[in-house]
Amino acid sequence: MPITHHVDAVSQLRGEPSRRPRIDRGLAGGLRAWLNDELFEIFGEDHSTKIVRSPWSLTHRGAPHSTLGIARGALVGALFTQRMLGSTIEHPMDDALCVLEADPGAAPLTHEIHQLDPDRFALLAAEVSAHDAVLAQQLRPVPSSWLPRFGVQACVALHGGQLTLRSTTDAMLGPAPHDVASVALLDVTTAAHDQHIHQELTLRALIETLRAGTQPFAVASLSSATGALALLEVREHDLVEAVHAIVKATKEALHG
Amino acid sequence: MAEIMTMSSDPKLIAQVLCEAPTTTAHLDPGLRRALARRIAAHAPARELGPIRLDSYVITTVLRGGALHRDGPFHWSPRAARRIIGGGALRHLLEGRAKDPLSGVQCEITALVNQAAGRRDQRSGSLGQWLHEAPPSLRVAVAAEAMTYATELLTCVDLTSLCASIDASAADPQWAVPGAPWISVRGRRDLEVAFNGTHGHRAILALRGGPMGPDARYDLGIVALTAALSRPDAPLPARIVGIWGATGRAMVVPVDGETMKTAARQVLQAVEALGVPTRAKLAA
Repeated sequence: MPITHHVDAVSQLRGEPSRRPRIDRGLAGGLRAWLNDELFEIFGEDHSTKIVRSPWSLTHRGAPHSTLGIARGALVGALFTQRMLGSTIEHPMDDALCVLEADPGAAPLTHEIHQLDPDRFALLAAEVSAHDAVLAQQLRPVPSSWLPRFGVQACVALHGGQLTLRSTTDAMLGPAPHDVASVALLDVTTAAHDQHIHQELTLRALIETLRAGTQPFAVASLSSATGALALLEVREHDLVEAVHAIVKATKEALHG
Repeated sequence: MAEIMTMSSDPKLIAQVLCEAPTTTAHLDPGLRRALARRIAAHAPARELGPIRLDSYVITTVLRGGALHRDGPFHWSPRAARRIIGGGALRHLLEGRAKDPLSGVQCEITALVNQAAGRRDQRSGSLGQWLHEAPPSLRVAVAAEAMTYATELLTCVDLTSLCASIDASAADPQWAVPGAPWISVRGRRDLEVAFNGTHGHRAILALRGGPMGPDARYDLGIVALTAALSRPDAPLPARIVGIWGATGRAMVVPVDGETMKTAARQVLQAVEALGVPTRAKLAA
């Protein structure tokens, strides 16, 4: 999987249209049935345990993010949307904070940001500006004909709801597919990519395949810390790899 | 009762289901409408407690015994504005006045802001006034939310195979209860499709967030009832299709007399269960 620097992420994501896979209408159903069979074996007589996992939680076991990290992620996420729509940003922290302040769901987070002491607030603002400078370099406005949508949620229940896979995609591009895969997913992370990034992208691709019934042609993650774009052109073996990862993680969660 | 079906939310399938010819031309039973109005008025929470708007979320939550969130005064947010602006954008698109959801959204926001700036809309809490006063970055966030909503609507149905015309009217159907007009029943739906060559025959589409819950069929039934109550002159909607986009699942509820009775019972039970003083108790 290529990881590139100093690129126009949106153009990279679009790639070469002729390389996009044809839609296999039976693929999503087959993957779901396979996963359900595996989960039936794993859960056995246990009908009460419920597990919820995201691509991040399936690949990382680290401690939860700090408040500052969560705040930085939310603020940079807001700026990512602004950049994708070609907005002019002069004061990154102010612009992002005003978006967050208008979201009732983000009220506890904005409260925490306003409670930061001046030094930590200044540090956060400087970090947000630095991340925005990377976004400005790596993102060109997305053409509106690509039908961008932002903050798209996916929630896939397997084995009668005992395993739920959740994800939020920062930007989804492309119309619903007919014969050829036409949807691409782009996420932004404020962390540097680590050794799990490939697996995380395969998991995102699988969740979207199970949700929509058709696979995306590409899934990518842009690191606003380094400017690196990790791009996965989705193929069937990537989805198979993701199934194995979910089975393994579920076994570990249940049986240690 | 006709069979309720859950299926994948494949846009082609959704278009097929929406286009199926209606199996009945029945209208809402006027007796049911009158009885519902009479019984709601009899059990209505007192007018002094202010207007009460019952939608399927409120009704199913009350019937489950759940608590309703009281968030305090309403404030506009990108999330709160998405259906109004996104629905307007879709109308611009369907009428050929915009070429894509973003340009439709921009048309809609510009119109709202101009209306407020031209002092034709001086209500301090109006969406136009809020947008007029909003900094540019907040307007972009509003545009992103509305565009996402409009695109979801546009892509959830395969328009190329839809043999019906789409009505993306701005307002949700609403029925103010005769005899207790401070109580209204509202159906949150996102599109109606009118069958070509028929008079008033239609199907309803409702987008929903999160996973499909056990109340899904009742939610859709209440929306269909509200649509029928608000247009008693038109035939019952043929069916209502709910799409839970996050899960990629859809539910089709055929609308018939039994669906209407079940939904009416639930509205009534919710009114009775709201647990606030009735007019009779206040008078005593």
